[in-house]
Amino acid sequence: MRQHEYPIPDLLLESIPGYLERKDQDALDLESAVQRNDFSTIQTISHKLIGSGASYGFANISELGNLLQKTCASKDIQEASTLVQSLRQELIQIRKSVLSH
Amino acid sequence: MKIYEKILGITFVLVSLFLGTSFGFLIPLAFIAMMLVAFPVLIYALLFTRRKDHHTSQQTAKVLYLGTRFHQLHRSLDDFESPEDQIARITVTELNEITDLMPADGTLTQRFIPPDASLHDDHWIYRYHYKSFAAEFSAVGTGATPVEAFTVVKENLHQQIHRWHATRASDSSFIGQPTLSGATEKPHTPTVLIVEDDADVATATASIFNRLGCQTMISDGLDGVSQKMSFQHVDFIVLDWMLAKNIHGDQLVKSSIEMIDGFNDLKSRFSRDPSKVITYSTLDRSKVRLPENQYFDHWDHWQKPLRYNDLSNKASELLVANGF
Repeated sequence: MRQHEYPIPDLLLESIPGYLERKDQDALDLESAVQRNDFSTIQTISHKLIGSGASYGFANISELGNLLQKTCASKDIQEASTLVQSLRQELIQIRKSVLSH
Repeated sequence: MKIYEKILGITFVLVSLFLGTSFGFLIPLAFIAMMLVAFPVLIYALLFTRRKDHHTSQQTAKVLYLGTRFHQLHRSLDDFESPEDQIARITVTELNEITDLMPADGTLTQRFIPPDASLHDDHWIYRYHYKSFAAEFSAVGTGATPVEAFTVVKENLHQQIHRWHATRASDSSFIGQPTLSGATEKPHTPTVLIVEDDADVATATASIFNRLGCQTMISDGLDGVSQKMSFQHVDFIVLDWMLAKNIHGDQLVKSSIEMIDGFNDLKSRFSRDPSKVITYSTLDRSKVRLPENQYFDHWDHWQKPLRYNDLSNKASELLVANGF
């Protein structure tokens, strides 16, 4: 993914490292929740992902949050696990892009 | 029939017979000769008409072309002129023309806010506020260039000035100074309370409102937010509907209403000027309902996720719609 695919607002540039750290923690918590079949936690974290991702220029994070929330309705833990891995990949990609910038 | 008519008729018949028998062969020749003469005339007439039409359309095209060139030139002047030059020109000339229409001895504050380079919309924001003893005028405009943003404000201000003069003319109690009705917009820096349990969303939202010149406060929904909603009387509350610990936005509004009801001055102030609530949630509008009340006005609902520039546009529209 190229850098310009993340339209990070200038005003939030300073907040990005902190934001990414919190999302890393969210990803860890999600992995843990998936292992416990804890859909309540998945629901809570995915709700936060939806709200914040797009605001920071990371629309894919919002989208992944949205898909994760749907797995809570369908109780599809396998799909949730796959999506959490996608979130991990996305965070790596963002970090690479932001650092290269 | 008179005698001379009979003679004329007989003569015509005799002459026709004579010509028909003597020169009948000439008739086809005469016809051909007429055609030979008429054809060039016809061709000439057609060509002349075409040329005339062509000439007219050429003239029209020329006028259109010049009009287009004028607009292009006007546009290209904006493009050619740097934003700094545009701002300087506006400040020196056009701004005075507007301010001259307002009551004297006022204080003007105005600001051009440049686009956020990381956003792809490249919008300039122009804020104008004029306050005198007699009246206040304010407007916000956005545009691709400072000139465009200023033009939006200028049109808005002209309407306000028009209303102000109309009010002044129709107000029989007016003595010397105009009344403010109609022309007055919010005189102060707009205040925004952001109630949001996600610090990242709250930060992004606050940065947008700050950029638009607002004063912002952030609450996570747990730190005595009802007191803030009641006692501080903010202009706008951006209210996340689903907060931490299963607190919902309507609960906060209910407890704030109860608090306001306990104080006559708050009741009076909120009844006169309700705070505008913008619910901000992943839920759609139909699932978000504010309790019926007279202190909080459910102005709008913004559904998450919103990209930064979309949120910025919504915030800008909110301020403009409320006269800031």
